[in-house]
Amino acid sequence: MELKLTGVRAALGGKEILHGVDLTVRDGELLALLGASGCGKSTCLKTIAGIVPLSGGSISLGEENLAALPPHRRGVVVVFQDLRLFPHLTAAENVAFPLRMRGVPRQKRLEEAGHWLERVQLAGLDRRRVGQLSGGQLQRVALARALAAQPRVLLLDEPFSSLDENLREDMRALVRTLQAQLHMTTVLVTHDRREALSMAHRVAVMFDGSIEQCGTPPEVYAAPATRRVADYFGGGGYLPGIVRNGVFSVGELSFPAAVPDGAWDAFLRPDALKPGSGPLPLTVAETAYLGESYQTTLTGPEGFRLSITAPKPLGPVGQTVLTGVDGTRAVLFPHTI
Amino acid sequence: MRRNPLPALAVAVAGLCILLPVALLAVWSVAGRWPWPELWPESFSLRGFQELFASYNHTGALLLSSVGLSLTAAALATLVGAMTARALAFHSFPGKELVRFGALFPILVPGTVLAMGLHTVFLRLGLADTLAGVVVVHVITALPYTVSILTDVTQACGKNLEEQAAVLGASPARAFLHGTLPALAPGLLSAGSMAFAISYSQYFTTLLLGGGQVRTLSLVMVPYIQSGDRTLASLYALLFVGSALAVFAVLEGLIHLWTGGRKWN
Amino acid sequence: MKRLAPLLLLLPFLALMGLLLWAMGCALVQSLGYIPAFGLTELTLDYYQALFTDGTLTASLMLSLKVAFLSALSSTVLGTALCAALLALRRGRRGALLLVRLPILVPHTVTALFLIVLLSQSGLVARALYAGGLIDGQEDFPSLLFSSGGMGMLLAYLWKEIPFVAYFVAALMGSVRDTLGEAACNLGASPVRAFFHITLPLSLPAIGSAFLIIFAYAFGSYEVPLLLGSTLPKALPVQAYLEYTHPDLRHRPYAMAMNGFILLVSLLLALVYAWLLRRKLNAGRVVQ
Repeated sequence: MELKLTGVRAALGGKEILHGVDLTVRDGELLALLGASGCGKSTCLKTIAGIVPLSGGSISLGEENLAALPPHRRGVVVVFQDLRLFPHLTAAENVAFPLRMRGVPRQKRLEEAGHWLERVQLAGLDRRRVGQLSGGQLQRVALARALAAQPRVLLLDEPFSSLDENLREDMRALVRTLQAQLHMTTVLVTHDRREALSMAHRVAVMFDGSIEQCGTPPEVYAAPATRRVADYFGGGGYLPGIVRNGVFSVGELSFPAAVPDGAWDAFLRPDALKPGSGPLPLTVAETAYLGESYQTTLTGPEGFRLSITAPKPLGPVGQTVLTGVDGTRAVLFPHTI
Repeated sequence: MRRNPLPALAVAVAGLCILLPVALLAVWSVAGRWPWPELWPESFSLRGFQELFASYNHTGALLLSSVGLSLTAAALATLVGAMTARALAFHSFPGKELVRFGALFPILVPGTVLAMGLHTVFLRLGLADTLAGVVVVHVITALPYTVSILTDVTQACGKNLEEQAAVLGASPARAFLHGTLPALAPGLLSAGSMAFAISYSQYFTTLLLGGGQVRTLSLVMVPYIQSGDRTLASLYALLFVGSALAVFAVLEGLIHLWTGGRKWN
Repeated sequence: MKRLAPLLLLLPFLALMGLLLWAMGCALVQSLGYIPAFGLTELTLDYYQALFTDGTLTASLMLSLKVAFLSALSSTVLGTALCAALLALRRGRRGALLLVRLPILVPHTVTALFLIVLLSQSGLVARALYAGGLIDGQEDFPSLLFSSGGMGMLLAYLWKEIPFVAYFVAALMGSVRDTLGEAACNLGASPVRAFFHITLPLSLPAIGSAFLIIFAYAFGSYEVPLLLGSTLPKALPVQAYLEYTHPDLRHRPYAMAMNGFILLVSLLLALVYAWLLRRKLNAGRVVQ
């Protein structure tokens, strides 16, 4: 079933946090809601779950108007950042809680909880209390509990942020596998670009309470719709130039650009540059050793600045490097002063 | 979404039960004649005010000394509470759990036991029938509340600010004064308010340990409640509640002033 | 110095505790009939025994136990309900919480006066019933106050302690409700079930403490039975004070035995509670 947010507005403590969010999550899709802290992504999640009331717009799931339902009837389950496991219940009782709320008899729901614990690789820990589980195990119990509720939509609110890096990788893999197996419509809220790009089918980038761009990971990364999106993924530099008759040029450099005439900035990432030969003279400003590679920072005309990672440094500091540019990989934004 | 009207209804009923008697006392305090079975006084008079504030009654002096006594007890209970809380929050020592339990112990000791037991001891120490003795028993009664409020607050403040001040060259005393104390201030004042409320309400402990030598508003009004002079009793009761609220308002104002609307962490 | 610091900080506290323990020790020793100054030098349990054999004293004991238990039980139940209602308010919660704090400021003596002007046989309720033609005179109105059943005392405690419980429990219940209660709703629990399955059980430590505080207070309180209790039987603390101030000083051990018994019951209850709490704590800790 398709989850659709149309013009969603929401306020917290009298301050509007969401200013008209439009977003569609397709059936069985894993969508990442990406944004810096304070952009409203968690609030957006809570309006979907019904914890934060809408002040405008609508939310529908398939044909159904979700906003008309109280939180416990929405079938939209959140795995909260702080997990919120019930400390007075065992792991299995926690997982069985949503089944209990549906009136499943005790024996049957504990059995089913056991299955879910197995699926998150916690077989045999049924009787453990919440206080007796490690951080990674708690994450898995919280995930199992959410899945046991058989949600129509699963919402993950930065669920891995409290874990160590290697545990986090394991959890990401587990979530992806389960999501695919269950064909579960899922929204993952995160501020981590790499997490969003590597896990999601599509990524929605959020700024100041509205969606700036939504697309597949390659789309949002390689073809950012705005400077803010480009900057959020980072790793690139802006090269100012002029477009005339469909050609972008600065100095000796020129490549075709399908935009109106005027002043434009070409957003270039390292993969668009071919150092060694070409019309663009750049200067080595800084080199840094990263272990498996070197990072060379190049500067160019009008404040252009870009770091390239390569097996060897591109040259000593101060040296000029002639560079070619792959115009098809450049993204043009109107020039700003 | 439809909202359940039950909570609002329950709170409204509770509010009515709380406010109705207070309003009734206000009417009684200015009632002249109000015989059975009238629902409203037949006449109003200021007899109560005249009697209460007549010069031979010394009500003003009584009010001042009661507030003074309770503020003293509250300040001491807060000071001892803060010291105990600091020991509990930042130090480890043998018998810590015992101290933690002991701090709550006076809540469990019923008032009569506390008063009569201390009276026996105070007779030996020469503290019976003295102001100091009354202050001490009030402090003991309020201590569980100040300790528990301040232990939470002290723990929440932590030692970070103090350590930062020390690293910047402050002596331990100055580090406490400039680092932790401002952060602790709202907690100290709310513990103090609580202790004041407890001390100001004390009846039996003051009666027994003061032995008639220490008069407080709380003590003086009881005979009027017993005697059935509803006008004077109501007036005393309102004076009591009003003065307690006034002290509270001042203390809350101080909290506000001290924090200046800022949040300490 | 480092090791002395906690001792220095605890010094005033320990002095006060010492005083308290000394006081209780004195009371207990005297309750065993040992007061050399009054010519009583023989240790005996007779005075405690009298509590259970002397008709007057036994009646006092039962009355006090009953009133304390019923007050504590009904205050905690109703106060918890009030707390839940307060937290469920969407508007005006701050104001309501302030209102609930008012009775905490009002001493029990004033509460007694409230009840007298409202519920005595010449009180406002009786007058209203008379005006409505439901009763024919003052005598027809049930004497709720000053009755041997302790109804007046119970009502006074309810007026004071229901708001106290609501206020006392609100912090814990509020935080549980906003995190775990919310999670329960999200997992398909209706607000009512989320309350009974999650919020209420996790708020039990605070509710239990409130019960204990109220029981100990009501069991040992002097002014409420003084102002609202019956002449016979008298509540235990009133009876104890009578014996304490009896012209014949040899009555004092009776007073102290009553005190000792009050203390014993309160402490026993506290121990049971501490044991229950420890079991609960071992069972699970709130993780945040």
